[in-house]
Amino acid sequence: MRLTIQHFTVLIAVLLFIFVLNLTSQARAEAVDALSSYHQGLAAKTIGEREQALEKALQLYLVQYNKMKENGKQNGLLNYNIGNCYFNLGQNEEAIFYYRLGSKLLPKSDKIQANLAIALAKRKNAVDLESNALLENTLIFHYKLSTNQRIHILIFFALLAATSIAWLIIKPNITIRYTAILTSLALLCLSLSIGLEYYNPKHVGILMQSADVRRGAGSEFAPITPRPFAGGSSLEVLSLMDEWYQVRINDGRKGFVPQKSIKVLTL
Amino acid sequence: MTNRTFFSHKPVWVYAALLQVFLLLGLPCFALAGAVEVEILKGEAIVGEDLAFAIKFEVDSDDELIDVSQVQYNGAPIPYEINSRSSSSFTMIINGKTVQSSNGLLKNYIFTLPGDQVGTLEIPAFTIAVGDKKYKAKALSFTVSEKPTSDDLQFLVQVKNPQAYYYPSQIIDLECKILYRNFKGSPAIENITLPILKNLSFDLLAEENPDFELLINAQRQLIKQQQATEMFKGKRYNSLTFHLKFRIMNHGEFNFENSLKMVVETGRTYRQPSLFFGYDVTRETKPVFADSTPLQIVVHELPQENVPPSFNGAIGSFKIKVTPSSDTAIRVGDPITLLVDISGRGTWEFVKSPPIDREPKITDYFIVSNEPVVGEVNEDKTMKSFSVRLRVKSKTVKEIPAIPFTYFNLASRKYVTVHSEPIPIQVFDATAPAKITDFGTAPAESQEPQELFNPNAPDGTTTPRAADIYQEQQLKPQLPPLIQISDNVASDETKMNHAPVYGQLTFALLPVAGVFLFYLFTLFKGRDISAEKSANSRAKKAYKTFEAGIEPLSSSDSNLSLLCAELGRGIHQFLEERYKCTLPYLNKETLLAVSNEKKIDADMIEKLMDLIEKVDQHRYGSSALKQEEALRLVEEAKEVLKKCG
Repeated sequence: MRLTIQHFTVLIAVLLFIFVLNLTSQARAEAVDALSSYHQGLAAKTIGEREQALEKALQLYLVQYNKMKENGKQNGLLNYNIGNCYFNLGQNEEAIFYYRLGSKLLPKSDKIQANLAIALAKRKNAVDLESNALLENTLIFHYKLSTNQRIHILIFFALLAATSIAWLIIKPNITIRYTAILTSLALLCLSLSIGLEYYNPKHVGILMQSADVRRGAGSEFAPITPRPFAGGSSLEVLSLMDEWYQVRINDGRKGFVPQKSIKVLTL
Repeated sequence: MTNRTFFSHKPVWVYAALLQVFLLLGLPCFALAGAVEVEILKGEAIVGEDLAFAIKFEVDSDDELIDVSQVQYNGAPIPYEINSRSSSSFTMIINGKTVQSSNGLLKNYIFTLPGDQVGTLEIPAFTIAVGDKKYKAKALSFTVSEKPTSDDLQFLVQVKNPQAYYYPSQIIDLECKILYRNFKGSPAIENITLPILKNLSFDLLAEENPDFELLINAQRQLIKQQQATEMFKGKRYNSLTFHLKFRIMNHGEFNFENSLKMVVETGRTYRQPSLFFGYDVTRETKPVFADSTPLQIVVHELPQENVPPSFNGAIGSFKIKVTPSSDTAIRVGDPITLLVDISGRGTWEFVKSPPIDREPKITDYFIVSNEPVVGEVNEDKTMKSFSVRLRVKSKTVKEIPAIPFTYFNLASRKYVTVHSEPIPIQVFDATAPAKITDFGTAPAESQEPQELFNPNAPDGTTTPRAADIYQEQQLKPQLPPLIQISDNVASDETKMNHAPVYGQLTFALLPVAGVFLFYLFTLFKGRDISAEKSANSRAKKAYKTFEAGIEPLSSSDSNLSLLCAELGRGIHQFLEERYKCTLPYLNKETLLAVSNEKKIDADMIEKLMDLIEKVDQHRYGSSALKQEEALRLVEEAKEVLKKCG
């Protein structure tokens, strides 16, 4: 039998198929394994078993998380799963961090919001960043929608605006004119919202342990508040200086927190 | 009369020669001065302050070796800092690329000397090496004057309730008092130097010092203040008192010399030009210093004799309580977590977890986790809790023995050891199925087990004893309950990418670009680009040119023959532009030739020829043209050409 180029093509295609199948099945097996470990942890009868199973689940989820991150991807529900593992392991601050990450990606997810609320309620004397309720309720699309959602709505409005403008060119009509104006305005607002977030992101730090906010970047500087900030508190992060984050607290004062005691997420 | 000979001009030549010598020798000196320069930055100071001078180098690159080790005082090199910057640099953009260029590098070596003795301080002449070149500098002289003091300013620093010696963790209360009188205006504290604040062996208790700000060690510190008047050495002073509370963190002998610098007005005023107009009146000020008596704090090390092995640094007075925070019924190898609560009074920074791994009665039966144990102090700062994890080695173990905790008692100045209560545990074989029981005390009624008759039971059997029922009920695991939260999601849902994909925004651009193209299409779609349209357009343009050329001449009293010449030239140009052709001569033949090609109306040709003839008549003929006739001719030409257009 003579081997032709077609034979080689078929062989390569089969090998590629087997390789992809193997990869996907491996990934699925890991994910299934993580979920079953998590459930095993919840049903464990001793602390040791529980922690072992939950830690195993957490490790598997974190592997998936890191793989996705390397490829420039993120998944809100994966963050939620990681947050759950941390929560059940008693590491509430880490759980809050991952819930917030998940909430950023999927702000409308009831599961994430519910668990985040439980984790936040579990903190003691924690302080959160004050938000402007009026602004948040006015600019709902900016504060309550994820970036991806805004991008999708922007594409929709671009299509709508383009259609209405095209219509207006063909056959001018007062209704179509207002539609074109309104959709163009919506398009402008969404573009500004996405542009603002892209070029001027807001960094929020979650304290992983209770820490003092100090006047300078060093432990020799005096704290600016009489009491340290409790673990799980959120602060606005401004910059990083010599392993100390410069932060702003709610009354507008600036201070420094050690890098090791804070995890930063970008809103 | 003076005989002026050649030699009488000698002085001029001498000056010229001197000038030459000066230029020859002086220019390199100037060049040298540009390369290395010594500048005294602070030549006079008050004792305690620093003196400073700078050596400035202009070098070609940063790699050039500079040796300033010969700059010495009392035989030791003087410490310095280096500031460097490009001497002149510029940035330009060439072909879209940013190009930076600089000419040399300025390096400032700033030397500081403590002015700790009153008098003149002299640095001997020194040599500096820059690469292969060496430069010599003259000796530098500095003046240190005494601190200006005044009886009207007193600075008192003392420890309240002082002890002969202290131990680490004790709190000292430093009372600082500033007394001043008879100063004009409002004297300002420029700086209070308290070396204790910079000593890391003393921890300033932030919570004890709220609400007021003063300049201490050139940085603002929060301290308490109290302002009043007070008698001191028979005189009444204004007094400003503040307390600083410190916790001693290390042992040693500490001596602090504290000082205060206040800026007061001398009473004199002087005028200086204002930034904008007129003059500003400035009050002259002078610094006044006040030193307090030296402060000595002696901190002893804890006694080294009879230190119990369970001592881990705690100083104060404490109690220990150990409770299991996980199930006490475990299998061999299973972890058991203990919550160790240390309560009492003392410095919590010094309180560490009891050294369980050094306790043989525990390490013999348990594997102690080597994870770092971090304690957490409660809000009231009355208790510190540690979480310790053990793994049981043998199933014969029945209890976790009492855990000792030793602290150093400051009142009795002795080591004191306290113990926790032992904790009973039940250990199963590692291979056995997990049978989990609890050591909780059975209810009183089950203390005496009774066999109960069960009428429904098969013959020969009895119902379980009450104690057994109790035990069965207690077989549930004693895990700390989990807070109910929403469950994890399945793996399929965690694969989708939720990260923002900004590339998708191109999809928004497509319809917008499409509409733009559509708009351009419609813009050009309705445009008439036929030959007739373009001919009309050309005609309009040509007529405008004609009108613009003829109008100024017809409206003025200029030469009428010139007007006719211009009229002829204008008509010629109009016809060429209008019909987009070249007419070598303006006669009937050429017009007819054009009309065949450009389809000019025969009637129009007739009219044009009439007009051209009339113009030529006046242009080349002998008949004189009157003003009215000329204007009529112009109007006629306009009318014909307009129709032609």
